[in-house]
Amino acid sequence: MAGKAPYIVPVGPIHPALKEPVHIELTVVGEEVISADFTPGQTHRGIEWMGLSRNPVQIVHLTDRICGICGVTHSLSFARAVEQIADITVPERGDYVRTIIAEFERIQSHLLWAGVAAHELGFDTLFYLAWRVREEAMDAIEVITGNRVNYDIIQIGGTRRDITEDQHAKIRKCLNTYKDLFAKLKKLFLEDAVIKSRCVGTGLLSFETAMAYSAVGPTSRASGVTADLRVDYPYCAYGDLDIKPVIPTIYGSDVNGDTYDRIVVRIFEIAQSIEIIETCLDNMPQGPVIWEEKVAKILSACKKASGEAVGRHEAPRGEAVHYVVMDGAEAPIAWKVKASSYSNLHVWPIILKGAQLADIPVIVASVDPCLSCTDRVAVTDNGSTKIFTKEQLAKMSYEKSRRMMQ
Amino acid sequence: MFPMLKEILVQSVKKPVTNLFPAARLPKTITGFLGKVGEGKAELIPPVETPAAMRGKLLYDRNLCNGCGLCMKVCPAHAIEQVVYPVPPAKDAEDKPRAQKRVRIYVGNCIFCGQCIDICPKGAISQSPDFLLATEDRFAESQIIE
Repeated sequence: MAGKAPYIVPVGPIHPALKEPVHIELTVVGEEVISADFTPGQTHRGIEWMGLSRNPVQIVHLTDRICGICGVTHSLSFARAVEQIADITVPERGDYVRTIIAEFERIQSHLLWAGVAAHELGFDTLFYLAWRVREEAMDAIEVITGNRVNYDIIQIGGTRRDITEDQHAKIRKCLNTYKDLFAKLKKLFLEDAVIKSRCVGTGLLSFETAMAYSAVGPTSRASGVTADLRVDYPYCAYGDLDIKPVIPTIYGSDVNGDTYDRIVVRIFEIAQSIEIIETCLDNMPQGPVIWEEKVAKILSACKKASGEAVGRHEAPRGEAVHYVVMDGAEAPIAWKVKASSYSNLHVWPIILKGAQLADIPVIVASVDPCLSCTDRVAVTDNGSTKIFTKEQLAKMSYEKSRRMMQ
Repeated sequence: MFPMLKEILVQSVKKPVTNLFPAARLPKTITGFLGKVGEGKAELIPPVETPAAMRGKLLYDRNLCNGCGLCMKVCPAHAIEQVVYPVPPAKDAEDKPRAQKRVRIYVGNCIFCGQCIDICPKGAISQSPDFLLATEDRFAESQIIE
């Protein structure tokens, strides 16, 4: 390559398989990243604008389509905002069903992420294993809601479906499978020499930086921040549960805030979610799951409501926020969505600094499973451009893993 | 990577966890294979069972429908439109025929949330477990329910 270092490496922003297209610009000298920057906001679909011409009962299912992985997250946050405005109280059983489905979502999301992280390290056998066991959670979700993705189970004022006694057997079977699997997952992900050597000490995010940049979810907890919305501001059934934020010390290690710690937090959060679901299933109160059976009555209650509210939920990736304003009309007059990834992406420039080019895939993935941004990387060099495809970047990552095995 | 070796060995003797293709071996031609299935010479591996609560293609009973249009109000995808059928001629002086309001559902727009089923006061809409709906023409007969 002609020309002088440093080189600018732009990553992204568009790839058809991407959940959240994002543009990253890396300045590299040789293999080392000396600075990084990113531009979010490349995936503006106008979904909030679509919401402004629809009533809350329609929007709650529109929100399911914001993210393919966090289906419950957005509909739950939105429903909680509207419930506050319209002064609707969710029945206790509805809260429990919401909690159970939200925790199942966390299990499948963390397993999906674990698989992606293994894939980015070039460890595809583990990727297949993680995605295979993820199917158990997807099947349980399918039993409860009827669909694998886009659950559509949340309604303003509760949930649309109840968890019946005959579903308990299937759900418990799924939970028991995970309990048996947990020791294996822990061993395969946390005791593997290659994963350790690739992840320990890379993508460092200190406690102070995590606080300063308002990182949320497992990304912040891996740096020792004990922030978890389920514990700090309990909602749904979380108030009845005895849960603590998962930080890396749970594995008996120190808090380093590196990629490895993020794996630790997510793996142990799977165990926590299994416990939560079990407790909820045991203690499900009787009664209705929704404030009002008739959808037309929910519609008229929402039509009368006016005011503003913020609905929050601890998504698998961190806190998601929905802000809604209504003024006695069918459609809300304002609706703002802030997903958890948005908060977490801001730590990329920090954790990518000093990283090697081959480590970029796993560091980027350690914050959020959305990684297809590595699809297209161009090294601009005084007019002549070399384009790195996703395959080439992945190859570099795989080769590094192989070098470490030797 | 070594803890994984045992897992790999165990997996290699287990049967595949993924769903099987309809044909056990790749046929030379798909139409030829389907023809053989029709003659009873070949066997089709059945698709995976759908769960009991599966939300698939909508079923609409136009005789139960009273044309209130509530389903259109809750459809997030605007997949339902109202159709007004013209007034039929009166049979005699006693007969007072009225314009008939019914709905038409576009499967191509439908997001299968099932909200129209929840709100329908007459129970005219229900859901089938039918999910193999992809076609090239969004206005094909299978894509419009009325």
